[in-house]
Amino acid sequence: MVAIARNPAAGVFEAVHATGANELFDRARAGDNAAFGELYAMHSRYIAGVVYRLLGNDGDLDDVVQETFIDALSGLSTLHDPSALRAWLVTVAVRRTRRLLARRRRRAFFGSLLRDHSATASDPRDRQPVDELYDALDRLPEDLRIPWALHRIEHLSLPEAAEACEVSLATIKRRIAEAEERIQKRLSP
Amino acid sequence: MSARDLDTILESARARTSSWDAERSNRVLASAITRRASIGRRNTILRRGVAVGAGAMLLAFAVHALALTPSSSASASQWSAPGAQQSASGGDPTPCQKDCELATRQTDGGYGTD
Repeated sequence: MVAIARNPAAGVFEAVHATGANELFDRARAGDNAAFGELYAMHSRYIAGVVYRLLGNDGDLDDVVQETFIDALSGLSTLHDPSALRAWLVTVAVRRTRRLLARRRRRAFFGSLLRDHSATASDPRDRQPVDELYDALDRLPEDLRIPWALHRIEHLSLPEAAEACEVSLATIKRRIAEAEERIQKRLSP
Repeated sequence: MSARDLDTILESARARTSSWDAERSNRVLASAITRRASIGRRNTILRRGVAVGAGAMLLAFAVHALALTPSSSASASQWSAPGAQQSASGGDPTPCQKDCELATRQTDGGYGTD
């Protein structure tokens, strides 16, 4: 049996063998580490990409991805639909990222500099504007930063972003609009 | 800043990729599985500790309750009314005893029973 599953990372549709995926999912739920490893191989790159674009740097990426998959390993039994695995992993990763950003904010409050976590761009020409964008994001509360980054940078749809942030569609729209306004103000010369 | 400028910056942000490679991925997976196992062990120890602690508390409570339960005539006297003890020891009559005495006199018509 072949089902069509959306791959948000590439923005294309890919065919997956649902029976095989379901078997893998069931084995992972039963505590099979090899099956979990296969699921990890399928999704870790995408999750790492989402977390990287939410954080804006590589520094804590390993920790967040690791914690996301530890939570996933514990909570896999609560998930019943294998096709919802990727969206569920994004929700777990967002939860973990929010905690990390809150911790960073507390550290910044007690003297650390927000600059320590500023973005590093791969292309030197992009360095300044992207750094400024992440500086502006660093000054936003997590509740505004994450929905905005998921929707505007990661290109998740509003319902997908709402699901990832575990809030209603109306709330996500309001938060994204507020974040957009603040970022525009911050980036304006 | 114009919307177009922001879109350009967003494109740049999307174009950036982390240095997430197979080696890094495998390291994170191995570490996650090890940590998960140690968390599982810790939780098991914690659960057992809670169960043993709760059992010990229950046992201590049961022993304490048994020690307080009257099991002989000696201990039964411990639970009798303080007024009765006082009366038996020849002290002043309690208000209740006074009421009873008064009621007896009234029944006898106040002439006594001699």
